[in-house]
Order: sequence, then structure tokens, then C-alpha cells
Amino acid sequence: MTPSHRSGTIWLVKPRYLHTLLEKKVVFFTGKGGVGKSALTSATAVLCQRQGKKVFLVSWNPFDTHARSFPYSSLGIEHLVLDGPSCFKEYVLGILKFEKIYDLIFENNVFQTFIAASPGLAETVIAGKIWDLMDKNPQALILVDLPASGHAFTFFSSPLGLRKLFRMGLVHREIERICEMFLSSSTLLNFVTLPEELPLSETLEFKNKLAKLGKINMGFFLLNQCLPQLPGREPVEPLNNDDQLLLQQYRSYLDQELRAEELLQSAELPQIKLPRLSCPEWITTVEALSRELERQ
Amino acid sequence: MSWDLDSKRIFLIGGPGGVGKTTIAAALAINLSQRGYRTLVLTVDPARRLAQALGFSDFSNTLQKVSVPGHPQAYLMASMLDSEHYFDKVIERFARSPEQKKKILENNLYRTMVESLGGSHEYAAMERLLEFASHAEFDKIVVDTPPTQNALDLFNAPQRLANFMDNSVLRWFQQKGGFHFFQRGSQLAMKALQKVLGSAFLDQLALFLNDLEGMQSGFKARHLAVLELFKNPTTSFVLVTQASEARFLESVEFHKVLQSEGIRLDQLILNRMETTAHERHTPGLSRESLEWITAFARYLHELQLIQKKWMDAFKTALPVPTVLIPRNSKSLTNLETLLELGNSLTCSAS
Repeated sequence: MTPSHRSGTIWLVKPRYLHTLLEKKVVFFTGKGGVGKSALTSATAVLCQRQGKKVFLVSWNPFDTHARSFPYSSLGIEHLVLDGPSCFKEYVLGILKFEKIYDLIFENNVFQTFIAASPGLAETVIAGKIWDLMDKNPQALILVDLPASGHAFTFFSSPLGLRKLFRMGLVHREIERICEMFLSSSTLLNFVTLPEELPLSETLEFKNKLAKLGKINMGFFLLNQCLPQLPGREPVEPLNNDDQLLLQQYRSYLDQELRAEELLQSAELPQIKLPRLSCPEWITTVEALSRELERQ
Repeated sequence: MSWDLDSKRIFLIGGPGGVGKTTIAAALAINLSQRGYRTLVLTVDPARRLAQALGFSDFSNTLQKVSVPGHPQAYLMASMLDSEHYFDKVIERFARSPEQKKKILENNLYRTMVESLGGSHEYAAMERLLEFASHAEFDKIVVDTPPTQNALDLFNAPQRLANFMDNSVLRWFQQKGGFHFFQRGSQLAMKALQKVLGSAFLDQLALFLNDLEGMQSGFKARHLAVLELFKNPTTSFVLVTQASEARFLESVEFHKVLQSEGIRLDQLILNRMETTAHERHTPGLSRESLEWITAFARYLHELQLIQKKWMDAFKTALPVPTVLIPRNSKSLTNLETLLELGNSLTCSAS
């Protein structure tokens, strides 16, 4: 295989997407809202499941109507929507054993408010639940569709920050495990972004901020909604006005993509370009994206 | 029907993340300043290039003057929100003594909270808005609201903070005065919590909550003031979104929250609409060129059809005046493009 020069790093063999993912236990997907993060996480789930891998897909946006309507179970993918309070309950029940005691103590407004407002608590218990899932299913691949960048940062920073606060107790042990999971080599963090300057530079800033937290294993930059491969050849002959406009539009999108790729050079991560698909429905988009990812 | 910019003073630009809110907010503010209004734009963490276009040299909370090309008379100020330092200022404001302030600012839990608490951006934005809303210096204030997972975060940020330090939570953790609600349950709870969270954390938390005592009424008052400002008839809530399935579903949820809070949606902006697709191609093109150009035209046409479908869905679900903004392949990071966008925003309202 010939060396390909990418992202300022020389990849002797560019890491293959599917191959890399199948070796992992937990893969996080992050990116700004609206860049197709959920679609790409789902497409990855569909792809890995097709390879015979046991796949868990974890998300936590209660408003994610797609995630609710997508037929994961018929595809053999286990889909979990996690939220802070119920993860907390599960966690505490694991310690207290008796649901009645839990209800007596924690099922009151005061405590529910405390859980909702406590800094990083919800994120930490959700991370704990993911650790648990990983521990119980060592052969499985857990794909996590993280919330938009700001909240995703909280997800990583809370346990790594709370580590300083809890020096003993069960939570201390729990947090240590979570941090270990975050920094493990069988964990991967993928970034989803668009080939546009603003979302891209934001994603890069986010990546740098995360890198300061600790050595999180970073995987791929998924550049979503790029131009499709077109048949034939770009016209060189004189064009009428309408065609001229079309060509101009194509070129300006292409310029944007090239600028994006240039910006990504600094990220030193392998990039994957995915075309913007004109599927009317989300389900068909996920299926088509999974085929695209398979080729990478 | 054109957008009634004159009778409104505060423009809240909201919507899901990544739809171009910050750019739209900047463009609207520039347009308002061109019309002779003394305008302020409050923006959240814009991408570096946009910040540069607006003339931000450093990223701070201070007000900075933006010069609008071709309009030397235009008065436009911009301020960027920095939630971390802003929180410290809020604590300073509500603290009842310098000792209380010092204790809180140095508390480990507080620092973690500021760094990680979801909603701190929202809180900082609303605080800043309240501060400027009372200034007569500005005729118009455009607020780029932070991207929120849930629209409720925006309105409830002060309330949530107040809840966190609610008296009952405080009392619960203060061992000294005894527990005020189910005695036995509370002692059991304390034991259970110690087992779960560890006593070091509980001690820190008790100290922290103790330090915050007396500040909650201030936060509650702010919450009410924010809601009042949102409901004011001179405040305009503008929803920026895109014509796609995902954006449609998110926007409908967002609108539900607005309605439940009694906030009226004034204007819908559908950003990044596809344009240009046609079938009258240049005669006499080579087979390969024709194949290429028809494929690209078909691709754009398909994208347009999908957008049309969701645009119609918006019309039915959110029947408010709507502006369509074409997808701009130019990078929206210089002032001239923002000027143009501002014009198309305010002229093409339908």
C-alpha cells in the first residue's frame, strides 16, 4: 500500500474505519448539533452489527424522535436512552439493595432537584452506567451518541474533575473506573462535523479543550455532508447562464470542502468524507451512510 | 408583510444548535444599526472568524464597538458572553459579605460547578441581557441565545440555580438545626448518602450550601425578571432553524416549550435553503459534461424537494411569518456578507 499524506501525519496504512471500530469496546461520537451525529452513530451501529458484532447504542436526548422510531431491535441492536435520575436510581439501588429504602429517601422533590442540579452528577452516573454495560458485555461494542459539544465536554470533564472531590467512598471507586474507561485504549472518540468553516473550527477547538483533560484516545474525523461523487466530467466548454450558475455553486461548495480539509490538517486524525445524501427519510439515510462507512 | 422591527426592542434569536443563529443575530444587529438604531448584540462564543469579523480582538465580556462598512454613523456594540467569569461576578453581586464571596469562589465544588454545570451559559446570557435591558443607551438589543439541548434550559437556568440552593435542600444538609422533614428518613438518607458519595464530598457540599445561604432569593427574583422580559410585548422571539426532518422535530419541541411558558413566537427563519436547479442545459455539451451537469442539477433538485416538504410541514405546524435564507456558499465571516444577509433577512419576510 502506498503511504498517503493526510492531516500532516503520514499514515503508512490509513486506519480503516470498520476494522478500527471492531477492536474497540466503547466509541463516543461527538459534534455540534445538526451535523448528523445521531445518523452516523446509528449507521456505525448498523454497520458493525452486520459484521456479527453485538452492538449497544446509547443516547440520551429524550427529544430524539428518530432514535425512538428507528427499528433498532429488529436489526438486533440494543438501544438505550439514558437519563441522569434513572441512572442514579439504578446505581444507588445497586448499593442499597432495597427499593423501598430508595423511594423513602430519594423519591422526594428535594432530592430529585438535587440530582438535577448537582454539577456533573447526571453525567457521571450515565458514564457509570456505560462502564457497567461494558463490564457486563466484554464482547460487545458500545456506541455512544453524545449530546452537543458543550454538554459533551461536561460528560468528560465531570468525572475527571470530580476525581478531585471524592477521595473516598463508593463514588470514588466509581469515578476512578470511569476515568480509566475514558483513557483506555479500547475506547475511542470520533468527531462528526460539516465541511464548513464555522462548525469545523468549533469542533477543532473542542478537540483541543478535550485533549487538555487527559489522554483520551481520539479516532476519526467524520466530515459529513460533502459533495457527492458525480458521473462524467466537470464541463470545460462554454456554458449558458443557468449551467454557469450551477458550476459556480459546485465550485464554491468544493472550495469550502477544500478549506475544511486544510483546516483539519492540524487535527492529526484520519478523516472520512461522507456525501450529503438526498434521502427524504432518516431511516434510508442511516442505511446509505452505513454502506458509505463500510467502504472507508 | 415586512418584519416589524420598529416596535420591538429585544430580539431573542433562538433555535437548535448549528443552524446559524450567531451569524443571523450578527446580521440582524448590523441591519438595525444601519437603520439608525443604537444597537447591541450579545453573542455566545462565536467561532473565531466571526468574532474577528465583528472586530473582537480578545474574548471578553467587555463591550466593543463594531464599525459597519459604508455606514460611519451606525452605532453597533457587541459583547461576547464568557460564562465562567460571569458566574464569579454573579456571586459577587448576590453575596452578602466579602467573606461569603471569598468562601464560595474558593470552594472546590463551586469551581467544578462553573466548569461543568449544564446551563451556565444560559444563565450568563440571561444575566447579561437583564443587565443591558435596563440601559436606555440601546434602542435595540439582539441576543444570540446559547444552543440548548432543551429550550427549557434557557428560561429556567436561574430557577435551577435557585432550586439547587433551595432552603429545603440547605436544611437537609445542615446537620445543626436538625431535619425539618421526616426525621428518621433523613438520618437514614444521610447514612445512605455517606455510603454512596463518601463523607468528604458531603462535607464539602454542606459547606458549600451553607456558604450560599441567603443568595437564593436573588436568583429567584432574576428568574421572574427573565420571564417577564421574554413576555414583554416589545420583545420578539425569533426561531432560526432549517427545513429538514430533524430540525423540524426539534423546532416543534422548542415551540411547545415557548408556548408552555407563555412566550409568543414572532418570526421563523429557515436558513440554508437550496437554490438553483434547472433543466435547460447548454446545447451541444459533450456526453460526459452533460452527464456531470445533469447529475449535479438532479442532486440539487432532490435536496430542494426534501426542503420543500419540511418547509410545508413548518407552515402547518408553526404558522408565523417566515423568512427563507438561501444556503450561502460564501463564508459568512466578513462584514460585507453579513450586511447582505441582514438586508435579505429584513426585506424578504413573507
